[in-house]
Amino acid sequence: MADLIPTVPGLVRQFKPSLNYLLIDENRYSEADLAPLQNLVAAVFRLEHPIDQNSIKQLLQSLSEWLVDRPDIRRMLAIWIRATLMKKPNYGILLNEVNDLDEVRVMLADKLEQWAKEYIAEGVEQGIERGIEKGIEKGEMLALQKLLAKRFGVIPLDITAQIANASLDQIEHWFDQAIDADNLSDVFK
Amino acid sequence: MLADKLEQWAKEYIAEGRQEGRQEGRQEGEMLALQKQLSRKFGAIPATITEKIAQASPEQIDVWLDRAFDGLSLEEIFQ
Repeated sequence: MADLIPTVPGLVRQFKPSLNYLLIDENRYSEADLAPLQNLVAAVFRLEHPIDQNSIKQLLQSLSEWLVDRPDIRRMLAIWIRATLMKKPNYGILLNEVNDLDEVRVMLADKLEQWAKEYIAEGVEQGIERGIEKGIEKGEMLALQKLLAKRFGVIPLDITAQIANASLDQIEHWFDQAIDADNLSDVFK
Repeated sequence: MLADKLEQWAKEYIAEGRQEGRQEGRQEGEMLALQKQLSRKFGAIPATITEKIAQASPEQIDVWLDRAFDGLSLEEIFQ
């Protein structure tokens, strides 16, 4: 630690801190390193880097078994886990106040699935509108191509490309034109 | 961190849902386009055919859309 601090002159020199420290990089431990250890620090590391949602549930189960006669640690862990799960306002899992590890475990068993479903539903809602637009566009495009082929025979490639890149409004406009137009160039003028 | 992991999972779920929604929407959109073409040509469409369209796959809808311009009757298109 002393190496990190520049040399100071005179009297102050004696106050320069000199400490030893141990850096533990939790990211360097893999699940395989930690899983066999019945050790609280290892369990906290695992909880911070869960492989999937099921592994959280399993870990809580193991912790509850190991700490069967340590209500103080159970309570501390429960409070910390709840706070961690709720940390991100938009992506957190909301849990009622807890006093014991088992309460977190039971609540989470119910909530995790529901939590996932809410995000899927949010995605579906976002996707569906865009999908309908795309689908109508594709259907109208097919209809226009079909109508053009019926009325004017083979459609040149540049027109096909123009249709493929057009907006729905544009396609509908061409379609209306194609019904009455005398020739292909009148439709696309 | 667990909180980051939750965010990552949530975003993955949203993306998964979005894809699901887009597919669902696309099918519905093609359905609407087909119904529009049919009503343009034939006026009101009987409920039996609307139902048939609602249950069809996207490929089937393409086929019907194709046939809608072949000068067939409504019954012939859906034969």
